[in-house]
Amino acid sequence: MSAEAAERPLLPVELRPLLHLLGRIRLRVRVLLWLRLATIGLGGAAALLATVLLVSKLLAIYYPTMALVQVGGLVLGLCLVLATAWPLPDETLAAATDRRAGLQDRLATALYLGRQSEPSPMAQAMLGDAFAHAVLLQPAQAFPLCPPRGWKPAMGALAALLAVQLLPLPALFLTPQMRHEKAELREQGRRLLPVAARLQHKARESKDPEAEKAARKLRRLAEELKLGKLDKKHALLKLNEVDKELAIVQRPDPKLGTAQRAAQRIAEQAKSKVAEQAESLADKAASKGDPRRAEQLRELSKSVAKAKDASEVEKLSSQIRDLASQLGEPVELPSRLAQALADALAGRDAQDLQEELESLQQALESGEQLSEEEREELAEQLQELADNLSGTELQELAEQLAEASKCMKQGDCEGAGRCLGQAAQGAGGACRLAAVSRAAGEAREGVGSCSGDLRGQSQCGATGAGVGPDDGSQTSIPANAPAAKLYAPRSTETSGTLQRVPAQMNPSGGPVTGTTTQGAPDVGSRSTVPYYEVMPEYSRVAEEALTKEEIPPAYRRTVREYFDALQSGAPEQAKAEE
Amino acid sequence: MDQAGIDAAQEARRAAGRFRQIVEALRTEVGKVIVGMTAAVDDTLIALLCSGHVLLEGVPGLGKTLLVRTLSEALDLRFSRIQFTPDLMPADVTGTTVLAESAGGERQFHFQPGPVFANVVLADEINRATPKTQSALLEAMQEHSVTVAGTTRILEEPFLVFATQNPIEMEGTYPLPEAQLDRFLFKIRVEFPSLDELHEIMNRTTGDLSHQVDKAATRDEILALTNIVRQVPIEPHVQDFALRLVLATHPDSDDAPDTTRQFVRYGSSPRGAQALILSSKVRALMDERFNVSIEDIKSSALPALRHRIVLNFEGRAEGIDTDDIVADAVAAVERTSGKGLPV
Repeated sequence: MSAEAAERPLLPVELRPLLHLLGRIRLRVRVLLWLRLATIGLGGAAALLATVLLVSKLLAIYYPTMALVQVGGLVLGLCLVLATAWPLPDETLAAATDRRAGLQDRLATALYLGRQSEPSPMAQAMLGDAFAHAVLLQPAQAFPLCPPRGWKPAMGALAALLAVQLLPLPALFLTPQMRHEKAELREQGRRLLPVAARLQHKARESKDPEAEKAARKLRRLAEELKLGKLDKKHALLKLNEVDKELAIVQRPDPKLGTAQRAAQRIAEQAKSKVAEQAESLADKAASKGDPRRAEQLRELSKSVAKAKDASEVEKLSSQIRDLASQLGEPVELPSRLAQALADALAGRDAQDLQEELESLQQALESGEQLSEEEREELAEQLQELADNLSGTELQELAEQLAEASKCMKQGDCEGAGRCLGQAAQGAGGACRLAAVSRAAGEAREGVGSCSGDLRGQSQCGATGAGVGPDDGSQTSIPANAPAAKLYAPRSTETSGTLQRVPAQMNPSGGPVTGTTTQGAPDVGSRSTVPYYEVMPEYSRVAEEALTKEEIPPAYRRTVREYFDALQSGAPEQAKAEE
Repeated sequence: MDQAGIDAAQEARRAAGRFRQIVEALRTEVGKVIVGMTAAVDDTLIALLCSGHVLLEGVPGLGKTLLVRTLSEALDLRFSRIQFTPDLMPADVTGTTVLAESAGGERQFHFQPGPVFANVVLADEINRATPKTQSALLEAMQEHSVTVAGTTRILEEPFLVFATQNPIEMEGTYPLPEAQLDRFLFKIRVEFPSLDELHEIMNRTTGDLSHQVDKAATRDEILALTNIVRQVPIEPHVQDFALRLVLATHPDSDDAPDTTRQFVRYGSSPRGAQALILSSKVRALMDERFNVSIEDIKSSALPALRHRIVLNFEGRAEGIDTDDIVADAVAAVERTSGKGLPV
């Protein structure tokens, strides 16, 4: 090559349109390459994961569902990196484009000739011919966007993965024990469904979004259990999740007492009052020489004490009134207002309370004349109700009732009526919220019972009441519970540091110094029950104990830190156990 | 591109246009007499434009000789025909020195040129002559010269040998030696015409119509066209494809397919690669292109390579056709050819 020819910057300039076209093609090829690699990668990963999942399901090994999504994302990311880094030289692209677009090797030859320093006249004619074809060429003609090769097997693998993940294992693959477990899960699902439906109904009535969400989750979980889509481990984990949400719905403000307790108090007070009146009447009947009625009244008094709800008390009250009228003795039984309030709080008839308050409001506002004694009695009843409701979620209603009582005592019947009207307006909503809270509580009981049953089944190999705090009847772990042996067959080692905690005074008056440990148990420690099954429950019981002040104040922080430390060590522990 | 380059490119385009015009005119003139045989006609024209010799093979009566005669009529070139027979002597082909007496009574040896001294030589039924006579053509075909009585005489360009042979009537024939076969650029198989073509042949040959074949190209034009052909560029990966294809006909080559390994004794010589690339250049120009493509190579593979492959005993015993060997080699090279994209 002569020096003059080497200096001539002729053809690279002319190659620019061709190189521009190849650049556009390169971008398109990278997209197609990514699609192809992603198809291969996802297909392969799906096939592998489907196999692993199937084996995991058969061997009942726990796996996190999110891991599947993470693997998919990782594969796509890797494919993207690979497609970006894949070497695509101009010559390769030109040859492939020629082949796909039927250009008879024009682009490749033009690229070769264009890089020569001294092209012949024929070569220059060739370059012109190649550029004329390149101008008309669109990258999509040579590399159309279409499903990459092998997409069908990849889709098949993904479908298999979804099937393994979503569909229950056919009975053919299950051992008798697993079948038994499945049946138990289905049974638990059937049991949870009505509970979930009740909670959903109450949540809809109260228009509480959190409650509705929790109810939906519970219902879905119940349906999945009923359809046998979940294995025991997943069921336990999901039950724990739902329980946490229900706990939020059940206790919107732990500082306040519950309206339900207030309802119990009101009902108890009403019952004891009626029972006392019945006893008093019985004494009077005995003194009048009527032992038969005295006996009847004592029986009624006992029945009132055992009555389960306000309607039963009302029935018994009417019988007492009849006997009192036969004896010719006046009797003062609790007003219907108190019973209606108790009923409404118990979630049975919020409408009744509203109607009662509204009728009382109308009576007071219509100017109905009440005697001094009647006003005082009504004022006392209202004050009594207000006192009972004070400090609960129904604080507002309590304040309205107290205001009405005050007005009544001052002789302002119209003012009392207005207060009762406002109370009536707020009572429905408040009672509905209280009902939701209570339904959530019931649902938690159901969930706890379900969890307890499942764990009990896993330990005993048979269905029955589960051990542990969530069997629906216990609130703390008894010292002699079989769970202690099952969950901790030997003393658990710890990697944490020893710590001395000053505690409360012992009964004899001397100070007590407790020794405890911090941190998660050693990985090498052995337990017969998987960590993830017991940890949420133990943690929850500890939290409850902290709330209920069953743990001495000096220990609370230590206990919380202990479980926090366990929680942070949970993933490693779970892996080690698997 | 500067003005000189643009002018040069224009000139090259004009030359290529002239090339296509002449080829089209030759096709038209041959088509006046020959019905069908499109591939055979095209391959013959390609060999003509490559200055290559052609061996036409086909059963009797398919028009092999007629094709060559018609082509020679369409070309303004000297034509001679040699009917090869067992008693034909080499001197009958090359010519000989004879003792001639001049007007003054002086006796001198005078060279009497044979029929090989022409531009287009039709060697009809070449396999009927003895190897000795057949070999008389070897020097002429390769060196374009004839040596008689110690004197070498250069043949006039272009020099083309169009030989014919009958593949079925083997009794009393002498198969061409490998060295001679290798000198043919193409071996063209003339196929039996289709029904429509037969109708047309009957109409032309049994009626009173007669076609006058006109001269479509002069000697100088043909020589100019052969020069244009050699200017067509070929991209390295296309050339690589052609060379790998030739190597794939060798049983000990890495690219050789199983059929080659099993049935072939010797593969194509480098002349095969030359034939492939040169004929592909002509195809490119005929297809209005200025570059050789892999498709051109594939199209030329059969006529350029089929006669250069020597089968082993097993191949002959199995009745293997060298066309199948070449087709397998093409497929194998395509498979292993690089420059692919995984999309």
